[in-house]
Amino acid sequence: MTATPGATVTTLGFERFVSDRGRRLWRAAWLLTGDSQHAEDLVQTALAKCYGRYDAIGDDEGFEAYVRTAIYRTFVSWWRRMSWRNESPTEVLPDAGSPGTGEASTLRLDLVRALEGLPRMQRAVLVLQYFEDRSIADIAEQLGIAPGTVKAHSSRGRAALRDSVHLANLEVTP
Amino acid sequence: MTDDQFSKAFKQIVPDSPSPEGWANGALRKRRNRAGVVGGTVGVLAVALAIPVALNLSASQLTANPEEAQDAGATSEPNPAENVPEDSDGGSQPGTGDLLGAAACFDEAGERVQPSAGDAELEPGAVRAWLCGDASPNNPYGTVGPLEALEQDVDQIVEFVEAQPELNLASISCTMEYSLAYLVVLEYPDGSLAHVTGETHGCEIVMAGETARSGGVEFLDHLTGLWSAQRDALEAPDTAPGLPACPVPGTMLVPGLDEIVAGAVCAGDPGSGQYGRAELPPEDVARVLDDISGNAVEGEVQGWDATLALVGGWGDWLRLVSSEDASSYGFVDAEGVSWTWTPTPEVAELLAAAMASVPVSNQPDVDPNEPVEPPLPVEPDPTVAIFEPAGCEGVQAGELVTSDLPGGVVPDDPSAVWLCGKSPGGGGTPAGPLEPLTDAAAQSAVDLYNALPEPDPNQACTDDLGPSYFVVHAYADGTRLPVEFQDYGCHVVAAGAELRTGGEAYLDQLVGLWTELRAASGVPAERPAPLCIAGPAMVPVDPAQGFTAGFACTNLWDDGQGGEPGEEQLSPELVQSLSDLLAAGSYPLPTETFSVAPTNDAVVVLNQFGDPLQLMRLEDGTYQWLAGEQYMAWQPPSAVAVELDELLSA
Repeated sequence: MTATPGATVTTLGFERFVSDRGRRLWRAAWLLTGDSQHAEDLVQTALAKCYGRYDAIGDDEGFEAYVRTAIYRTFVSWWRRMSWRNESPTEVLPDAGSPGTGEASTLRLDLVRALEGLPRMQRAVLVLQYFEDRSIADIAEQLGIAPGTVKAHSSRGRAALRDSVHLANLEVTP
Repeated sequence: MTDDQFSKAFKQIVPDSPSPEGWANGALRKRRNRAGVVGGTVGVLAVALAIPVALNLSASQLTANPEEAQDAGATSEPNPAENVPEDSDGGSQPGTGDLLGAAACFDEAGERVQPSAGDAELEPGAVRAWLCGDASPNNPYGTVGPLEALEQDVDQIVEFVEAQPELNLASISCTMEYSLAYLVVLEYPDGSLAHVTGETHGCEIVMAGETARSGGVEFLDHLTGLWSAQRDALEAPDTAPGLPACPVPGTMLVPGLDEIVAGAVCAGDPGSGQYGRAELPPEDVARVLDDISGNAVEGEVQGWDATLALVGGWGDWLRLVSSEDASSYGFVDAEGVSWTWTPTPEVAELLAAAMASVPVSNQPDVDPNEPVEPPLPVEPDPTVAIFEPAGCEGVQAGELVTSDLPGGVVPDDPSAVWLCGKSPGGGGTPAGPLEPLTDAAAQSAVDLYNALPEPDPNQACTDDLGPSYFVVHAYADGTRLPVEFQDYGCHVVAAGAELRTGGEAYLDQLVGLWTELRAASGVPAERPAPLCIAGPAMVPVDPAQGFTAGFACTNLWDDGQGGEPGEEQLSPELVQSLSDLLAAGSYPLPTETFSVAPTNDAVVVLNQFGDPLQLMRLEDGTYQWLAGEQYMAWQPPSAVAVELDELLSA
């Protein structure tokens, strides 16, 4: 197969896409993984999977949505690889040095620890619901599960967070 | 916390993102690593196999002079079981007959060699080197390195390693994903060996002795570049030294289509890991290559079961992954470009025939005098099928499959049209109507399908999964022609390799035909068990129309608490109570979420047509059921609630 002349253009466009939108993707990945480096790995893994569709999708908005789907799907399915590697989750500590008040730092630590205790699918559903403000139907489509299943995961996830010892004294700034 | 507080908290805690500089390159590198690809090799589409040239792949006979190679004598046809050259410098992992890498990569026990304290020091002067991937009999999904040794510019390996920055392993933090761990074996004139390991994941560490360095990805690129340069100076062998294991692992070096000299198909069961392999005859390999050359298009590789390998003369291969329905293949070429290929019917047929000829198990014959281990207890099958009316027989089991329609259309005048749930999308396999469409309604169903447009080839489809349904057109001569609506991805309607779009509207219109039929001349029916595992009714159930039967369903799904699934019929009196209450009840506004967590118990009631409605019991004793995309909530009166609770706790 000959190398296509457009390959270089595709790569440049892809690099520009990552430069423009990579931070947004990272934020969701951070909530899923609770760790800066893992979030970066997750975003890069999703970008690697989606690169081949960049030209076919044709616009950055659509491609971002596609990559975002891959981020969530990859996160939910990562357990397989981790169990094969006999890896156990590391202690998740929020990144030091990020700007924020003392209250925000405490909230971050508590909520990250509480989220870490959730099964991956529940975590993915809650991040989509409360960080990305997606509807149940959107979440179902994003994760490839039935709307009823989304509701069940959301309900159980919220109940688990409410019961979490890490959030027992939580105060959220209005 | 309220929903609003959750929303605020999630948004408040996310720190600032680091700079995305380097992420694009990182992503592209991951793609290359997954494909096991070396950059820079450009192949040309070809339609013919290489002219036969005999060449022994033993490294000691590798030569830059093709004429000398031609005089080396003809090799026999590649035999997967006996393809280890006499001097064992290349070929299969001993004992398996599968190409898993150079023989130098494995010890006498067949395990991958590892660095050891007895290793020679890494220094210039090595006379040859081997590059080993992570594939082994214990890791057939790994990556295979080149079979032949590197015998030119070997010192460049040492120079490259020594130029890499050293790492202090105690002070670095590495990510924990896995990509590839490879090994280089270097042989010195006195026969001593040095080993260098490299990783393309985490901190991309290169280890030589006790010294850790960075640059695992760049080192691998350099190594594959050295092997490619050596190959460029030689004429590629025209017969493959063997065939890959099944399922097909990846290779570090990928041949171009013009370098393919053999092919093999794999067939088997991913679940059990039992696979067999069959080599394709040369004429079939040529047809496959022609077809790929003419029909492959750039596109993301879907699926993960590698069932086709096109082998080059050096013993590497192009690995093709089949889609879930085996109608198309995906592969990544030597440049890291992803392609999809849908074989023409003729080539699909020859591949199917080849796969059908594969013995699924390649286990050696059992000695009849050896004691036989007692069989393991059989796990209960968690995928018990729901009832299928006669017209849907074989759909759930996969015995009735779609195929290309005559002339690309569903023929007129079916005697009946059935709507059948095929696979679950969460919540059970959808329950299709028990009765078919007949007469004019059946012809209307045919017209609906034949009017569906073809899909836009540029349409991007989501990578989700969901339920699928069969529409089965039955004819007086006994023929059944199904089409499949895939309620996921691009929501296409498939008949063999032929796709049409507009599936969601198609299904809605079909349901409309059933609704009209029932309004005009509906006949009551009873749905046989099992009922508790049935998914939503495909023709929506209206509680106002009443119910004729009901069942208490316990332990619908495994919540880790143990408990066997149970299905117990409700008394006619209780069913009548439920029917009256639900028909007359007033309900809160539909909700999108559960207010309380659901239990894994439910009550399933059937309407007069045998369509099920599943009332999920929530932890507070209320019930909810799915109405379209939302949930209706219902609080039974206390007497009924107590009666239901007793049944569900029995």
